[in-house]
Amino acid sequence: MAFDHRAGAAAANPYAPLMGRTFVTLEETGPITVLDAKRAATVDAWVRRLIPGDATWPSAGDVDTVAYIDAVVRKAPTLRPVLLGGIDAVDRAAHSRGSEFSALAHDEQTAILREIEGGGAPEAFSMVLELAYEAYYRAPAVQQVVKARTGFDVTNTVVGKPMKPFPVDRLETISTRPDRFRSVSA
Amino acid sequence: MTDTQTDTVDVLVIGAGAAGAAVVWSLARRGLNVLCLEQGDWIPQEEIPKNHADWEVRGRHYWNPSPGKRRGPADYPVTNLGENPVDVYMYSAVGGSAVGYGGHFWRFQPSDFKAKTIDDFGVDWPIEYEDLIPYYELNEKMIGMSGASGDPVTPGRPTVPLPPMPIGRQGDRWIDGFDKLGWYWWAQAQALLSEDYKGRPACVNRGFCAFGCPSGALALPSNTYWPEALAAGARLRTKARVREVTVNEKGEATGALYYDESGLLREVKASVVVISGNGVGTPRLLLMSKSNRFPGGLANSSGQVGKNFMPHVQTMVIGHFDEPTDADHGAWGGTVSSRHFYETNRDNDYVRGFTMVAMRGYSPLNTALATAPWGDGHHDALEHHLNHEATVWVCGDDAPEEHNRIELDEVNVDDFGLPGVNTYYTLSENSKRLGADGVRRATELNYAAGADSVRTTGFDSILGWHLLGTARMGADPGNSVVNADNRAHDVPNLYIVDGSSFSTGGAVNPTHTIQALALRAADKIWEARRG
Repeated sequence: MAFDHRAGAAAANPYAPLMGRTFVTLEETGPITVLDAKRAATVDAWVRRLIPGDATWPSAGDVDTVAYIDAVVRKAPTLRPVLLGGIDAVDRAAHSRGSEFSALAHDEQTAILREIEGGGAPEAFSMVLELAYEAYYRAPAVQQVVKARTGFDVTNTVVGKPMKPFPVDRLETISTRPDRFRSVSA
Repeated sequence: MTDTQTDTVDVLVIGAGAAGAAVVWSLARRGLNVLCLEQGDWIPQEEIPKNHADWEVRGRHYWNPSPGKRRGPADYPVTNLGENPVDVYMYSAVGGSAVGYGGHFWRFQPSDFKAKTIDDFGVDWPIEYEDLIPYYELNEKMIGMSGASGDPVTPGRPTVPLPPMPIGRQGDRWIDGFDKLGWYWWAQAQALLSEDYKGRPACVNRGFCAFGCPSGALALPSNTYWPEALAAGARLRTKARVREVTVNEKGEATGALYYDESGLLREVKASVVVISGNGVGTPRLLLMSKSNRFPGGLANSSGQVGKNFMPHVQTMVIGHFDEPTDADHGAWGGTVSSRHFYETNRDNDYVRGFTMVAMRGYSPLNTALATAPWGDGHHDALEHHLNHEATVWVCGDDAPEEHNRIELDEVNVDDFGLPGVNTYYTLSENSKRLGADGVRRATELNYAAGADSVRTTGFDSILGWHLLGTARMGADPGNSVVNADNRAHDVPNLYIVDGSSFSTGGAVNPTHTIQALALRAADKIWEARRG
């Protein structure tokens, strides 16, 4: 079923081999302890470009995405250099435009992230993207919008929902057909 | 360090999954002293992802089906190689890989056992469909299989213990599509309870069954065979990592050496040893069990251990529907399914065939990862796809080929220094043509059912739920590992009972056949003991 695959990923995700050891519950996603305030601000602006908000949908920065990413790398220290390297690459690109990343216009932020994704720091980009998607779609506030906008109610997947019985009358057209297996008798 | 205390049992079973549980159940009820060693553990209720609203994230992390990503304490490294690497999915736990299955429950077809004779494809099994009928019937009652009686595809059109699972509006659409095309279809047989059964409650349609079933409506070894086996006196030792099967100078299996949770090396002596580690774990253990008597690995005089890896030709063909697909409820494993293209059609450019299972839609995170790009278009893409898609799973027969194989990886080792595994898989030309036709037919079905567009996950990486063929059954000791009784040709008291013993893989989910073979093998073990 391949539930864990991202389509179109430009680079391998360095956190893939650490997935099993980096689960963080909503309750564990607490204060930011790995990222300093400046880097946290960059990541916040970064994830707001990945999943922007609008009148209906919150942005990834409006939920606990930055804290979640911080908590994951807290559990997997070997990922810290990847993440920090990616943040620094984003910041350098922003500084070359004479600004902090978080202060740039959205289209400039997007242009920088395209560069990072395409070659500047593709592994860091892939990691931040997948963690941002995870944090976003597990957020209760987002799950409410998902229900309102698509009809997909996550609550049903946890508690169930009654369904009408199988329409056995529809089997009649098939059950009246001859046997449909291949004889292997000599 | 070796513990001085050694267990001595009648039968040692290695692996507490679908096959091991059935073997233990069958033999313990006859009064034999049976011990099972399982490198994983029981799964606590709290850890079942579907108990939590964030189950999708849990499913990507500690519940990830890929051991190379999950890397739990009981896992060993698995690296997937070849032109079409198999994304090997398996769990080390009481219940084995069934803890993450969807519950499709099929019988093989009679032709599956004779593919060489009738289609010059692979090899014949040394047994026939009729040999498994009583064991299929027993297994269906043990697990509480749901489905529709009278399937024209199954010889004798047998009765199914429980009625079919609900299929909802999307299931109706799939039936519309099949009927429009004039293709055969039938209610999907499933290891799911459509009614309360033997103390287990009926399914309440949470869906996405591979993320764990909180109620036990999904039949697992842990809620079917194991409770009865333990009540009958069988013992199950978890977190027991087997290092090797031991042998004596006569070439008989004498038991096994294993590491317990603390790292202590322990020994079990047994009159009969059964390996039930499935298509990756079993060849790994056989190849790890080298000795002066068996320098190429245990039971490997044929050189076939680890060869003929068959994961099936699998892909998803996903339709987009204008109306909602009700993807948030209903058994994920299937609504209705079809073996219309199962048998060889001489007009095709390939032999053998495939199954199509008309399933449900995907969940939010998965849909976002697969279809919603980052940036301004993200929400529009998600709203377009989520709850408006449903998938047809294509599963095709792939021939046993020696170059598709499992080998030990001495570089990437587990926490105890035991080897990991490299898998190698490349689709044959027949498989490529068969797979292309499967996608074509599933696309037709999608449009006939009302889809307005279709996407597919392709074959670059093969879905790796079915791990078959790596210690295959055969009449000839020169090209097979076990005989028709699942007994190793080379080792008279060693049985290999799991998906690795499949001679060919058919084109359906294998768990039912694995358990039927296990129940039959248990009878053979019993008969052999009685002389």
